[in-house]
Amino acid sequence: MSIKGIKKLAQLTYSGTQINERVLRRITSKLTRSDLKLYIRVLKSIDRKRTVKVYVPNKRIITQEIKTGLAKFFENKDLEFIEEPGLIAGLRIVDNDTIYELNLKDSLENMVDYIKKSYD
Amino acid sequence: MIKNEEIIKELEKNLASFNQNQKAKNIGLVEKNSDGVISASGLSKTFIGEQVTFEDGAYGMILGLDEDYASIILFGSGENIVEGDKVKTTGKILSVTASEKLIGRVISPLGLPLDGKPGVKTGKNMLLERIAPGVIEREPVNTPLKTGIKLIDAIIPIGRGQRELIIGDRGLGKTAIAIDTIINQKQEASSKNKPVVCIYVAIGQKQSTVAQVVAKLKEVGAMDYSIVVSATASDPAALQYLAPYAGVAIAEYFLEKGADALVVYDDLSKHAWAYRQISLVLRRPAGREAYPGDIFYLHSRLLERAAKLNKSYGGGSITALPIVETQANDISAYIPTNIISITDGQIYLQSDLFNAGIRPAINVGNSVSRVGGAAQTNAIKSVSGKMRLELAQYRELAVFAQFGSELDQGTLTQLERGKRITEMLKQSQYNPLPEAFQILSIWAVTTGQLDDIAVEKIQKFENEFHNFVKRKHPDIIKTLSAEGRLKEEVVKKMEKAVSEFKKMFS
Repeated sequence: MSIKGIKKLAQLTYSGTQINERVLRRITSKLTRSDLKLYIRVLKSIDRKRTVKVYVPNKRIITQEIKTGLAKFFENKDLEFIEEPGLIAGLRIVDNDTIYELNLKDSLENMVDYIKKSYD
Repeated sequence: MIKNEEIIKELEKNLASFNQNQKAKNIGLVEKNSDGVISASGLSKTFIGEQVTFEDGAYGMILGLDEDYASIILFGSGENIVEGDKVKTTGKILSVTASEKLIGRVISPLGLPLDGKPGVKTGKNMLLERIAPGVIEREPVNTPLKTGIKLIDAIIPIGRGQRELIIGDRGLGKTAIAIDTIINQKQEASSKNKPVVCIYVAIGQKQSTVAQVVAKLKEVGAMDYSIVVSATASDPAALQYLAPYAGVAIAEYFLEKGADALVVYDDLSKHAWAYRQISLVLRRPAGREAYPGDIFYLHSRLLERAAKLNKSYGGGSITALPIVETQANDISAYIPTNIISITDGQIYLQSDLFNAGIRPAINVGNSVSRVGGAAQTNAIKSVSGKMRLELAQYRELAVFAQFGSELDQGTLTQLERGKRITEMLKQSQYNPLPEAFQILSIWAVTTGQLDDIAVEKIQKFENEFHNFVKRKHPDIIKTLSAEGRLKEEVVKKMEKAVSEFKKMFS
């Protein structure tokens, strides 16, 4: 099957923002191994495009205000909050293939890079 | 011993200029790693030519964009990059740091040192891919770039800003011509004129060959005004592909400063092979000889960057000497014909001539310089015009003479003159000759002054005559070098010098 066909099937698998299990089963039973691999990859990519992952050092800091603000900013996308203590403070937002680094860990790393380069 | 306080102060000073510029990063995931070419998904905001980095610190450049994938060429082996690894965009276009400090250095196409000395960190970032100077900025070629090789300077002259192809089979002395030209820039330099900055770009060559070239340049003191950019056969194809662009980017730095630069691309056939390899791995459609469709543009956009700028744009120049290796003297192959059509002339080396002991083995019939004549000085022009004609007549007559038929006196004289011209044009390697001596030799042979000297003694005569003139008549050399034209008084002095020398020559 062509890539275009697989992409169309992957789009059809979704009903709204959720995967339709019945359609999924029907499609997967008919695909060859290589097509199935491609189908899963396209599904993952669609899922990535629909979901915005928000990494925070502690989930307790997420207030309703932050949630509303982010939901407004990323319209028609699901927000998923993930705890990552390594960030120290701030946020990391992953929207498909774009990362917004708004945290202390990244700032410190950039600072270290900057100092390293200035002493090279 | 540095005190802790001093270290902290220094750090604070450095961090004062730190600008935390928060930008969104664009990332992708490695899907495939094959032969130094990576296919990555994501990277929706990337662009062609952008530099990207991988998790293990390796980096590469975007060479192709597809609906779902970006194709990246790697600048390292990429052994540690596996499926699923993250790749990040940098927002930078590939560039090389250029400055005067690069002179005398051997560097990689990315500007990293290959000679064991520290890297050059300060300088101007010159983009590897850049649009060539336009029509408004240019002026016609009008200044000679002397090679020090009699045959070239007289019959196939090269001007500053010209692109002259050196073409021939392997082992015929293509690199030797380029190296001689680099060496000659030292003796062409004067107190007023700095030597032309020479950039030798080695593409896909053996490490040992590059080492030999560098050693020779060092030995004769030519590294004082030369830069070597090397991507050898053991380097990834991506680096071999980038090497000539890095060379010309460095030359552009000097061009912007109003200086004259010479870039030798040794050689563009291997450059085409490297690009073919990348293109085939990228699954781009293959055309003639399996080269991709844009192989012509690959070389035309590179060679178009050679230019002579007019005074209002600094008056600098970039002269390009691309080298192309042919197989069995076939200049009608794909890459040779492409580059012949791009360049402003070619120097064609032939194996028959080489084997007959004629070195440099330049085939005068197939070699041409389309624009260099305008840059020749009047003195060499006046003697070379006659020589070109006599040489052409000799070649023609030599073919008939092979049949062994009886020849009249006039024909015999022409044949003998032709033999002496051919003998005089022979020149040993790494021995470039200043223009004044070239004029002296060519004038002597074309005016029949050497007709009574045996053919096998011509070279000995020439060498000793040069020494004699240097010793006894230095004013001739001085006048020829300074005036650039052949005046009657000088000719008379030259005639006198020849007759004086002939009496001594045995």
